[in-house]
Amino acid sequence: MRHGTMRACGWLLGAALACAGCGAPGDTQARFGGGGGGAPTVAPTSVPLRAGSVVVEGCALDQWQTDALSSASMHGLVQTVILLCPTARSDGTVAPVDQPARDALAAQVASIRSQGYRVTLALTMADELDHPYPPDVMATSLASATWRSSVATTAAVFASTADGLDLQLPPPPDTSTDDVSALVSALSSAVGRGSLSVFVPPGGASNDVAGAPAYDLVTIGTLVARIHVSTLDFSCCSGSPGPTIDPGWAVDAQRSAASQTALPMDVAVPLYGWDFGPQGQRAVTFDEAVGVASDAGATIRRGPTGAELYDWQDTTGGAHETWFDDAVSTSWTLAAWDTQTLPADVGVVYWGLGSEDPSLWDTLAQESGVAQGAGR
Amino acid sequence: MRAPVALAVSLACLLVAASRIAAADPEWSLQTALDARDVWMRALPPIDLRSPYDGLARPIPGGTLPSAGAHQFMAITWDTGLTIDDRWLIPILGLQYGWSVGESPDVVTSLDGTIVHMQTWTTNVFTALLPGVGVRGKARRWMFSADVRPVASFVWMSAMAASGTDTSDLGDGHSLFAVGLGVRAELEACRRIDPVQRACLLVSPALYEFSAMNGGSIGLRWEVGP
Repeated sequence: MRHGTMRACGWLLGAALACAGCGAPGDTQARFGGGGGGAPTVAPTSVPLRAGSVVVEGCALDQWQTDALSSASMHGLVQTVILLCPTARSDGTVAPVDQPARDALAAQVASIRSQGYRVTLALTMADELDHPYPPDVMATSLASATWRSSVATTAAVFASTADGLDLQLPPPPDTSTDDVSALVSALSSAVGRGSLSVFVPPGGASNDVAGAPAYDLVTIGTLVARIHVSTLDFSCCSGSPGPTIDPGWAVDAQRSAASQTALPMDVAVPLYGWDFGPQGQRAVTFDEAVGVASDAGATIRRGPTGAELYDWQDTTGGAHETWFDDAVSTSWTLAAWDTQTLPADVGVVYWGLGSEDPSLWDTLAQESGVAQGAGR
Repeated sequence: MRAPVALAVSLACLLVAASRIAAADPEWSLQTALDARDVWMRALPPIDLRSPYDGLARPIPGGTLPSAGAHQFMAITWDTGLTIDDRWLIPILGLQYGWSVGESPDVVTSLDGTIVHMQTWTTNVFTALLPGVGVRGKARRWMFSADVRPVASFVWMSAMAASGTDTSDLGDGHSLFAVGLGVRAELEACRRIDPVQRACLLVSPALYEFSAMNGGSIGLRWEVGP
């Protein structure tokens, strides 16, 4: 009996101990908000389909951007193209100032519209070198009623060639709140409230972005038709490398804005990344990030929120850390915004057409259940 | 809803069996068992974060992580029961602990907009096997038995919430788990080792554990009792 007992006991314990600690991580799969079941292989990611806009950083499209806009995937995801143009100067002029350039801009707008997109122009503010003005210069301009009137009048001319106007200022000084509201009021009078939208920095979230205090959303909410919450550059200015967006932070930013105004709004998704190096930060496109990683022999890995990153050294030995998004990380972000977390009427502004992972639009179209097709 | 119904049916069976046995002059004996088994769950249950989590820069108010799909466990079980007239079985109480085995995925999901990585390879399950009813029969050195019994299961795992470059385990607060009542059947084929010990092959379908026909287990059991 004793032998039998020990034999049986050993049999059972041996089987148990043989498998102790066998649990091991396997492949990553994405499964948002749905039920499970089936083998743990690849599960489709579901991305809520939202109203989409895409920002082009400039007055004209390059071939890459043109091809992207012509794709069926893009047509399924994006309804509005926002050209980051024209640009207000501190002297009250609005560039482009020469008529041929203005005609070319109007032709560009018409060309995009002919593809079925709504096109708006985003008024920004920069000097002739496209650099933001120093805070005191910007504050002085914003405080001038003459400057605001001049800019609004000219901006209305530009807006008349498109479907609307957006205001996209560099971060204004925190003390310019009343002046920013006054500029929005002047623009609203010039182009009509229904045609005016404004980009506002995230406020009230765990990582406020510079310029947020200058926007009085309660007042601005009575002057514009839509608000774009610029949930970009999450790790922009802290000095610590990190992802360009954090989906939870963006949710908080949208909720903060929604607590001040009932206007329809969008959150922004960056298509570019950042390289953090000894000389500071520099925006990078997906292709540039991947190319540098290849040249440097760096291993690209995925950060906690899905953004890709790698470490590398430049030719002077300077240490860099580059963070950027690809189709996977962007779809993680969009999928985290289920309609219970972010209301279904909140749209998405994709910022920086041309900087994205070339597979992004087809991936998002597939995961959103819209048509996909030829592009780049 | 199905779990309470199944539990009620099991208890009713237990009462009917007990009343019939009590009408006679039964011979009671106690038995105990230890087993090791492979458990396959067709779908892990959704896991609830039952209280707000503030271990990150951004608090998470709570919510439910979706099912992470099928999962494999290794489990050890201790069990006790009564036999009546060498025929009727009354499983009394068992305790089972299972841990994840094999390669398991990092399942990415979200809670209130925060990216969450469900580390399914850290999944554990503790199950209390509650009183049930069954029957057994013997043929020379062989014994066959079947029973059905309610169970209470508790499933937990690590889930890393991400904020920027930081991560934090939602399970640290001990409020990330799934708990549920269910019913499982147990089928055994045993061979006698000596007059009171048996080695058994055990098959146990999960009739209802978090969902209907949610997998089952197979294992080897060592039983002591007449």
